Amino acid sequence: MESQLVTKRVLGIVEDERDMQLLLRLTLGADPRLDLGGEATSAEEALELAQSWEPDLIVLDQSLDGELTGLEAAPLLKALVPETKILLFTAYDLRARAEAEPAVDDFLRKDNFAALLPTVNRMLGLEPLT
Amino acid sequence: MEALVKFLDGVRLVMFLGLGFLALFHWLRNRGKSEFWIAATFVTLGLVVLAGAFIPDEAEHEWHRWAQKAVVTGVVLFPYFLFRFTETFRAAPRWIEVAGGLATFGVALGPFLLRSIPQGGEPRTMGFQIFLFAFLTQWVFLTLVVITLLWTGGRGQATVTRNRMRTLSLGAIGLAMALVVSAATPGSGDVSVANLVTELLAITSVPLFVLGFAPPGPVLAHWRRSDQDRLRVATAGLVRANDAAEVADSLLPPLVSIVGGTAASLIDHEGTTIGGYRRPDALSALVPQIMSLPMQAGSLVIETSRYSPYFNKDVTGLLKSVASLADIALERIRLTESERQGALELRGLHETMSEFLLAASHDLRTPIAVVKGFSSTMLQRWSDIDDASKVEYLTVINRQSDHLSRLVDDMMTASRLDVGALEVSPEIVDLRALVAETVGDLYPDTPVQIDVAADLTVRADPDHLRRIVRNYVENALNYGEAPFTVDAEVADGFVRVKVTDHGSGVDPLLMSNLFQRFARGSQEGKLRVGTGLGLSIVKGLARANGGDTWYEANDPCGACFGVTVPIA
Repeated sequence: MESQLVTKRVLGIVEDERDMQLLLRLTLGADPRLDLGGEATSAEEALELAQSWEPDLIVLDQSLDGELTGLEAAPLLKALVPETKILLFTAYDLRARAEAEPAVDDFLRKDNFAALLPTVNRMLGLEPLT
Repeated sequence: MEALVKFLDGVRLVMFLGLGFLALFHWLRNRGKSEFWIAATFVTLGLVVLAGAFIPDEAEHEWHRWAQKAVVTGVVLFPYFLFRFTETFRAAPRWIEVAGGLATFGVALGPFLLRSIPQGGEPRTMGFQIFLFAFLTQWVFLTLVVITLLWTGGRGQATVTRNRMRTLSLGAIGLAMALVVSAATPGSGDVSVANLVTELLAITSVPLFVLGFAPPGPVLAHWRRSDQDRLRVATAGLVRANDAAEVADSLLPPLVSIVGGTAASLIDHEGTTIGGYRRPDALSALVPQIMSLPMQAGSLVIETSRYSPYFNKDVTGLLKSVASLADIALERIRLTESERQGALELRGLHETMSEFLLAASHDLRTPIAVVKGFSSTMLQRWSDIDDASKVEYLTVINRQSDHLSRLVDDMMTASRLDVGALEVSPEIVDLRALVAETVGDLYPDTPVQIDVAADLTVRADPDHLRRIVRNYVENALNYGEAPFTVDAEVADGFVRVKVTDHGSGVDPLLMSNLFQRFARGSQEGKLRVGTGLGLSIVKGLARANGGDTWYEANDPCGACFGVTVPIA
């Protein structure tokens, strides 16, 4: 009853690798408070769709189809949807550069996959799922 | 006074005889042209003095008269021999040579035309007066020529050479003055101041001559002191020299000054000048003597003046030590340079390794994350997952594990290629079957046209060939556009296999190092498939199998990657 009152948080996933997309859907979709609002495989596509998704949070990969990288796309996305949190989720060691980029709200390396859902919840101000 | 003059007479005799012996000894030891004329000069002088001492002033016999005439002839020859000595270095003008020769010949005959030579106290006949005038003219003329040649020739020469040439000149002046004073004094039979002056001038000329043609060691060392000081400074400069040119800059100028040379070069074993002081075209009109000293690093070549071989002969020892110093400096520079190169190579290797690790860690992390993510999710939520999804997830795990396995294989192969430890097992391979199998296994649903003759066989390690074809085809499918083709043609004992697509082709910026490691667009860039090792491995494998790889733009668009394999 209570869960119905709470508005679901909308997530956007920007990831070009098929298997990783599936894994993100599986993992994040397991939390009923989250709604997978949209998926894109390139930064360009994400920029096009961001306003219609109106996401609360975007999980953004660094290397993508298309010309732009995640770090390059982050400020452009932030300009379109300023309220949206951006999590840079990549296999590269980019913590320092992510921290230096104001448009990126948090950074997580892909091999620390177990921390993905807790990180997303924390960024959205949600209690950890029990 | 008389006793003093008699004593000086004795001293002069001994000294002139000594001078003659010394000059003779030098000639016997060295047998050079200059040594010959200097010996002729002073042996003649010694004999003249010796004969003068034994032939009585009053001619008692006829042979006394002839002996006196011979002695005078000897005196006449002295300046001519000295003149010939100076000419061994530098020829006098032709007219001087002719005039000097004729005058000497004429004057030498003079005593034999006279009835007798008047002794001290005897009246001088008109004939004798004329002879005396001719004799003094010949002497003074030749002596002046000698002095001029030696004095002016000494300009710009090494200190030792210059000093030796000038002391010789001074000796000649002393002797000429003694003669002039003696001749100009009308003989009275009495010992006079003029006799004393003559003796003193003659005696003084002896040490000057000795300094000129055989200077003793301590004098040489003294003359060389300033040169050696310069050399010491230069040697200190060698420690700071960073290359052969700096070694030459530091060492050659003082060296050239010490030998009185015109130019010097350090030459390596191939004959290339690795450092020099003054170029050959800057040489003066003097024809130089070339002096070459062997070195470990090649040779030290000095263009010395024509006076050096005689007047500066003992400088060779000094030059040898300088050549050794240059060798040590060059060796030090070579070692430093090779150490620097080694450090650079190591740094390059380290950078390559760091890049490799960075790329490898990224490429390994993604499949590991996927495998780990799916497997842990399935473990946690096994009962919630339907069977179809289970199959789907396990398929992903399987695929990513294969990918991981290939990445590790690539790394191992690259590392084996690096150390030359790759094993090659060549076989006769049916090329069409191998290509069809590789392409079909990989992408059963993708149309790749195979245009390879059915009976074409190559000699290669089938595993290696498979990897090469797979890499090219994967690249075409990942980066290119359809239609895709694999074809083969025979040329010069090789089969040229080409994989072509019709995409945008390879970025020209990437073309130059396409087959090198990490040739991908950028580290976090757009070309993400593989480790960045793919094409470098392809090239390594192709070469290990006796072939090679190449790239060309496909016409009219797309890429064409090729490999040559020896025909079976």
